[in-house]
Amino acid sequence: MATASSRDEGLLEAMVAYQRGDTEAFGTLYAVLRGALTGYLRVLARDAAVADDLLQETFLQIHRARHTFQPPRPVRPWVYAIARNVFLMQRRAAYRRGRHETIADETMPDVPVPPEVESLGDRESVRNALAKLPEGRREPLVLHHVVGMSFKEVGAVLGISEGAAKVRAHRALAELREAMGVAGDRV
Amino acid sequence: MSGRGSIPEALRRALDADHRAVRPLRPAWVRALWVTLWAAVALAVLPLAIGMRADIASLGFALSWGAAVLECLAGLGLVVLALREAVPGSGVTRPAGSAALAGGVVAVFLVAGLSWLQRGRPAGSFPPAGAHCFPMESTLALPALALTMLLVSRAYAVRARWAGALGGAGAGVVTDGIWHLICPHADLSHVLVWHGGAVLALAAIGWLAGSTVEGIRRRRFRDPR
Repeated sequence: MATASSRDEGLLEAMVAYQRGDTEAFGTLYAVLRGALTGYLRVLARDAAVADDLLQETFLQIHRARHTFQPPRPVRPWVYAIARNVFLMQRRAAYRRGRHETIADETMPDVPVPPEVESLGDRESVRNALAKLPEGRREPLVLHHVVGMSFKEVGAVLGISEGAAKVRAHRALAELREAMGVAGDRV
Repeated sequence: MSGRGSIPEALRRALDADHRAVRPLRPAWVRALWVTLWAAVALAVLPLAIGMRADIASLGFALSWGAAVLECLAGLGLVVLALREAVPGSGVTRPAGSAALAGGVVAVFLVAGLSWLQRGRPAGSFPPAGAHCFPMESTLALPALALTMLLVSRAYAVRARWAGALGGAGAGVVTDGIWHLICPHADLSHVLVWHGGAVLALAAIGWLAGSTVEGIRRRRFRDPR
């Protein structure tokens, strides 16, 4: 299994090749990033079908903004910041067009869950507990504990400091464990 | 793992329509050199072309040229932050950006306050005289503002309004540094109201420009629902 750093190096190499006009490298980026990005977009959109559409739009925006990636910076904060922006644009567009369907608090499509809480209950109850977390805490939790970003990278995606990302993710994990019936201080 | 087989058709078509090589954006401080160049030329030319303030000798070198250069550097710092903000995943945090914006305004007031203390003049009346400084300074800042906005627009600011406000304030502080050598008004209230107002107005223009960019991007966005 590839380690985080070797995976990041592979992404960086693919991104640099893609900027040089190698479209095969875009295929590599797509293959490597698709799964985790879909999970992240599902957590944001809370709708699997919308998330799948947003994934395509995200890659389209990545293609259009490829000149803004600055090697040797890490690829994933750049990609996830674009994905988050695509989601926010979709949400604003939905509001503007009067299609702001209310999402029940307890709904969450099939998304990867933090391994720290995976064993505390069945997948559905973990997902439901995840859905009840405030958005501002759910995102750092998923980006750090599921996607595997450092807190510095999480901060870069969300526009918050490394410390704030850490605090929010830890609080979210504690709340999640509490919701699953485990004492928060064991986090 | 590699290969394009798994890419959806619509995405593949977009890729095929434009697969040219691109040059990565240079670091923010390198891109800001264009604004630095403008500031250097303006600093050298404008005070001579329009006329230096009458009391420049009493201010001394440090509080005239020294303060002007320092204020320009503070403004350029804000421009660098704006250009960083325009690259996804490398922006400044809101508290840091707010502190930088406040720092720019403080730089304007600090230079004014120190100059006023040096000359020992009264604080002045309210509303202060010399309202023409507001349009003059704002107009002189337009090239720096346009240049900054052009550089921001060449990137992909996910928080375009924020990048615009930082860039606008930066252009304003740079120009105020230059205007410090020209403005004939000595009272403190004049600088606080008309010079500070110009910087805030330019930040607001940058914010509005960013809002426009976000609006255009939203209109072009294909809502999948």
